[in-house]
Amino acid sequence: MTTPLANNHLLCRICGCVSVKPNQLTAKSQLFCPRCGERFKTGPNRSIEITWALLIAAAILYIPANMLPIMSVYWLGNAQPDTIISGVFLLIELGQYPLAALLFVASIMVPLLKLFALGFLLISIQLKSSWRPHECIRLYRLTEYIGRWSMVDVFVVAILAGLVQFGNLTRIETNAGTLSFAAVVVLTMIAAHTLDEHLIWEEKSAASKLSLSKPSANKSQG
Amino acid sequence: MQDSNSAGISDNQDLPEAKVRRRRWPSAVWLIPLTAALIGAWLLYQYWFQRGDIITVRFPSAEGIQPGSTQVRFKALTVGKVKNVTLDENLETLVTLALNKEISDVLDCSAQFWIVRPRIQGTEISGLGTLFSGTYVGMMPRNEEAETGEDEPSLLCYQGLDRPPLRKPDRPGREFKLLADSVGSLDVGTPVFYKQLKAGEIINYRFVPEKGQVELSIFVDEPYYQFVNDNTRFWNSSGVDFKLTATGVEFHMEPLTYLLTGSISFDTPSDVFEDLPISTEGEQFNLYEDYASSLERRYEERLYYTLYFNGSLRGLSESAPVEFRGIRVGQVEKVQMILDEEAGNIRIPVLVSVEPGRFAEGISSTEAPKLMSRLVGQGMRAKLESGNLLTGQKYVALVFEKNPESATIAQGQFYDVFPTTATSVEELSRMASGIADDLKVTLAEIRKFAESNQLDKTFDNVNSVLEETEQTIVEARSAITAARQVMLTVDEQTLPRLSQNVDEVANTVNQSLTSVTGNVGSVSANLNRSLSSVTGNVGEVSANINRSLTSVTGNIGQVSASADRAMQTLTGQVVQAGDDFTKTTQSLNQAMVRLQNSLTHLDRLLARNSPTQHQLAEMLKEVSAMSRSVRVLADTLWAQPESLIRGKQ
Repeated sequence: MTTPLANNHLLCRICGCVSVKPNQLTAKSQLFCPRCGERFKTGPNRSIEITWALLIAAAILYIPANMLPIMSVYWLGNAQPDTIISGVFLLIELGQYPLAALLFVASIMVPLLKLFALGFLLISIQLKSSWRPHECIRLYRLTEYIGRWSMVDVFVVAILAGLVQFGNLTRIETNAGTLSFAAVVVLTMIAAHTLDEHLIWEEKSAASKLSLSKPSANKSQG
Repeated sequence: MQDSNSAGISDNQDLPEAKVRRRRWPSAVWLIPLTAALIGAWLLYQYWFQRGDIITVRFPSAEGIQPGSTQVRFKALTVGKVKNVTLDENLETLVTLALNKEISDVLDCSAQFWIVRPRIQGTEISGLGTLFSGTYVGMMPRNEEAETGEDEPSLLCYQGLDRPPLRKPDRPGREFKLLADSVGSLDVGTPVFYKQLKAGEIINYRFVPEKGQVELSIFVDEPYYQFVNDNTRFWNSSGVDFKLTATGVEFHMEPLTYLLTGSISFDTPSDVFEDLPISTEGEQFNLYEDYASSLERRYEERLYYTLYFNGSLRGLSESAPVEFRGIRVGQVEKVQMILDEEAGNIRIPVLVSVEPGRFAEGISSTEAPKLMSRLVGQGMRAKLESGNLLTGQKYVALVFEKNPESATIAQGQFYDVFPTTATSVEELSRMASGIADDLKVTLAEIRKFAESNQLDKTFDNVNSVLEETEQTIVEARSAITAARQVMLTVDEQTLPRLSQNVDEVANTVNQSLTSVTGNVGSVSANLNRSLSSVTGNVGEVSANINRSLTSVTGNIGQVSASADRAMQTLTGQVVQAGDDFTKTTQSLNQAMVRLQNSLTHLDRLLARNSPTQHQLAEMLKEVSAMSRSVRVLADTLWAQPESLIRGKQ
């Protein structure tokens, strides 16, 4: 604090050793403390990488989450497994259009939109595009906010499976689809969290050298 | 400043440089998508590669099938699901089935599909589970019986069946064929019993046009088929077998559960041939109508004869037995009426079949008629016999007549005519009717006699005689009784003395009377004389009369005196006798009183309301009650003779 470190100095949090940052660094270089060997948390921002990994995992799991049955209703020993989409169709058949819409939006649309939104943000960050930073940051906030609500499905299935256990008469069991779906929701939530929203602004602002008038103009437009 | 700057620089130069290591591996965070990818791949593998064929089945009706939820089952396992139900261009139902991987692998073009619904059909209730689980599609991935090529691929469109295919159960056992004249109450699933144990079931039946018979396929389970060999008899044990035949009442019953549905039983008589090999798969047997006919040994060789009987054929039914000394040697095949135009009467030929093999085992078909002719030559005749007096069933008996009129087996129109003889019942009835006629005549005579006056008169006479006799007897008895008493008394005391006294008295009286008579006679003579002279000489007469009267008076006085004396004597004696007599009378009186008492007693005894009468009536009642008891006892003994030993049950 008393001796501000130069831009090329590194301070080890473990042993307090100050070291010099080498000049030639590539994206794949990792820096370690010369005394205790602790890894320095500097270098290229890894947030994007982690977010990508989580996002891809979520995208992969999204497929089985929708194709596999999420729960089976046993009625007098006769199993009736349902996927999310078959549940939507069942509700439409029964005339419960609002419920069907709700289920469709919450369980199919929202995770999908989250995947696309995060993907879009990541790509735009990596391309250092200067396209509409205000909308991008708003999209990010929205994504982070609604992400948790997709867990409702999982909770409903969990509660039903816990409550409706009447042996051979009626029984509800969860299937692999529920796990996949829960994984999708959790992974997208974590992905949204790990994404360093600062990068959105930083990269965009750095790239385009935006004046202060632009966001105010955007704001007034919004 | 510079120092410090330089120092700062030198510090900078002194500072160690951070170690640089090139990152070889991507960040560990990529393990997450990797894991997700693996899981996803595995799930998708399960989903896609466990998914079998999607096939279409054409069903006559898609009743109860719901796309998406109706299941396809094989051996009660869900192996697929109905995806879709559509109509084809012929407006037939096409059901699209999504099958499992396992079942798709074994599916070939002989696969069969049918819809299982709750089925209640006569003897069979099946698919009750579908009431709860809903209709499902049953399937058989391949039909072993339809021998098709090994590697024929599964088709895209199958023809659905109306009902579950009839097939051999997947249990160890053997299939046999039974030939029956009709199916009766038998159906697929009807049980087969061996010694009242369920040993199998009917799995199929079909009509065999060439034979005009029904061929039943039965499946006999594991341990039981070993008891099926060439000697085995199968019979239809449909429920209760109740039969009134010439031999009595036959009652045969299978387990109550199968009373209505019927069943097949089989048995292998072990006494004939011991070591016959177990029948092979698909061997054919006859299905006998009932237990009794299954026991009969079948003789292929039969001779048919026509019999003409004179009497009534009431009680002779078709398939009634033809017996020889109580052993069945054939049966009545047909009883029909034929109008004989030439003779102008109606004849009833009875067609019977006789199995000559019963008389001589293994007789050849050429020898058999000769044997029968020989037997007829020895006096064999057909006779209608009453087999069961209760039901009036009759049978044909072959008997040897003692002194037969010579007869032969005559050539008939269709069949040879076997000579017959009068039924013993016929003879008996003829005799009985003769006796009845005689009896009728006799009775008529008797009635005629009874109706004539002669008898009435006779009866009247007899009646009066009897009445008199009765009176007489009664009088006589009382008289005798009284007399006896009197006699006894008289005999003992009075009689000897009395008779003596009486004799004396009588003599005296006699004498007195005689003298009186004499005197009177003379008096009257004098009187007469006097009277005659009266007319002339009344005075004289009156004087005379006076004299006469005086003398008469004197005489009379004399007479009366002597009479008095006599009378006195007599009186004394009579008084004595009277005493005796009084005594006699008294004792007689006593006797009479006693007799009266006795009679009163008797009267009381015989009076309508007398206790005796009552007791008698009671006694009669008792006796009738007793006779009733005896009758009951007799009935009981008749019905249950064993009750003598075991007591009434």
